[in-house]
Amino acid sequence: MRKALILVQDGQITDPQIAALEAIVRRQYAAQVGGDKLLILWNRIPAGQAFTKYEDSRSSIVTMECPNGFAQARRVALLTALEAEWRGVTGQHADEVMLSLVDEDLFAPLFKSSQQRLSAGGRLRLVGKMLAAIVGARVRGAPIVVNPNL
Amino acid sequence: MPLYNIASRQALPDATRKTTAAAVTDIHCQLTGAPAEFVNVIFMDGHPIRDGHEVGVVCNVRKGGNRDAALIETLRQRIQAGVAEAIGVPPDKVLTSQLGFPASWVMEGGEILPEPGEEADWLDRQSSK
Repeated sequence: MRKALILVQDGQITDPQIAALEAIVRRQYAAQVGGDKLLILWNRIPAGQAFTKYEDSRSSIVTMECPNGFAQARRVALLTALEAEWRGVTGQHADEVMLSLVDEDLFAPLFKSSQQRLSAGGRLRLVGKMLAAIVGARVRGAPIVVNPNL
Repeated sequence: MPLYNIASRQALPDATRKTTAAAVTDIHCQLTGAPAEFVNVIFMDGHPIRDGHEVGVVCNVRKGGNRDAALIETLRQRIQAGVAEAIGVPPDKVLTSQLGFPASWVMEGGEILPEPGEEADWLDRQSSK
């Protein structure tokens, strides 16, 4: 299963917008990367916990996994198409959207980095929170959205 | 990019977060020459860090261009010291790790990011948008 990590700012993007964006990410990903199952984890950053250029951030950050050696032309095609559709939903300025498509060998340490810095108890809490969020989202038929604070 | 992800067990006061984000941005820009527009800093609390550390910092930065291994290691050390000073803990209580990403894998401002050290043309195009 491939993964995508998405950071958005609390109060900036609504739940219906997140649902619409998730559908766009899945469609564009399937079109450009392929039909691999994609786990999308949304982190909604509380106000006052994110900064860009010294100021409170209004940035959305999308990081997606792809196979190693993915063709650059297809990478650019995905990022370009997704950026345009994303901003169509959110109305964000181009400066406020950062997207990346990362080969799996580099995505893996990125994905693990937030766990590896934690104590054993912290890792358990993080995994427990993520599992609860995944189950809850499945039950509701909604995107998996978490507050990253434990 | 870069994205600095700073986790701590205790929630940091708002003023400390702002000071820390400014310190990280200053250090990154002064050392690498990258523009502040690129620098994102996020905070997470309730995260117990391993081995008795107070803070854990994951630094995701562009690699290549004018950045060699020595500069990347210097950046890690300066970030560790800068975060420690801003938060008010000893540097050895700040756990840092770094991941380097090819600039060509990242889009911001509607364009693929430039290689480190080659930002001028990219910034000119952005400012004319």
